[in-house]
Amino acid sequence: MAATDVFVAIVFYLVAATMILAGASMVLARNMVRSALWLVLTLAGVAVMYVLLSADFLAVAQILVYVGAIMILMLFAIMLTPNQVDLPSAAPQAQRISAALTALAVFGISVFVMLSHRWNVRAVPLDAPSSERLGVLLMSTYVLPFEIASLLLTAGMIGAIVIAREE
Amino acid sequence: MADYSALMVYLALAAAIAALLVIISGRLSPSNPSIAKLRPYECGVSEPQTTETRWPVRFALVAMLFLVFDVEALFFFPWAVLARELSWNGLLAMGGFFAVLGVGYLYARARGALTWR
Repeated sequence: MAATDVFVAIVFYLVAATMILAGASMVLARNMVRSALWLVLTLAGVAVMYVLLSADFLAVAQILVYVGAIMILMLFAIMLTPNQVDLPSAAPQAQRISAALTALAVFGISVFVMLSHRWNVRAVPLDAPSSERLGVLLMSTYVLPFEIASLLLTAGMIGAIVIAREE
Repeated sequence: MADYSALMVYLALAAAIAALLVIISGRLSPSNPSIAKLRPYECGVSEPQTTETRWPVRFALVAMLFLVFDVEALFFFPWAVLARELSWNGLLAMGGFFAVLGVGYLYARARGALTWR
């Protein structure tokens, strides 16, 4: 095992443990704002995972969009929802049970897929930055979807302005 | 693994500076707490108000606009790393992308969505 492999393994297990702790803290936090901040840590851990998988573009996207913008949107959504910041006993019993069942089902399906699927494991970690190849593909083969993405963003922007306008 | 050593040095320096500032200000500042000092305040308003009031929806609009421009900035990355190699084709594709979002930007300007009222 080369030194980099050991290093990658150490980073992976450290970040994975942090993510599990942050995820659990997010679910267990009584305060919605604290939950959201724990989610920031979890999502930042996902970015590190992308780096370890040589998916550098996804890592940048994860930090820029999820850790940055989506979390700001979530915090604003919490702020804009009155009387929901503290959740002492917000959920009724029936909702707790169905939530637990749903979580169990998702856990079961995830474990089943993890164990039953035949994963293609590479002997060495993938070592190829993805941004450059993505750039070439976006500017040539997939130039039309790329331009349509800008249209979609503009539509989202105009929609937000129309819905949230104050007159 | 691609070479991320520069990024790691940067992250380590950032963490070290943040930790250093917290430790230094904690060590050097005289600790002399009183009830009045420990109470939360904002710009001299001594009575803490509840944060669970109704916030203007303007905040959500700003967040949405930030998200859109954030994603726009993200799409510049794969182009920027190869801007020279992609030459005019890339510049044209990026220009089209930018122009369509420019229409949205002009609309936001015209509707006054970017001014804080």
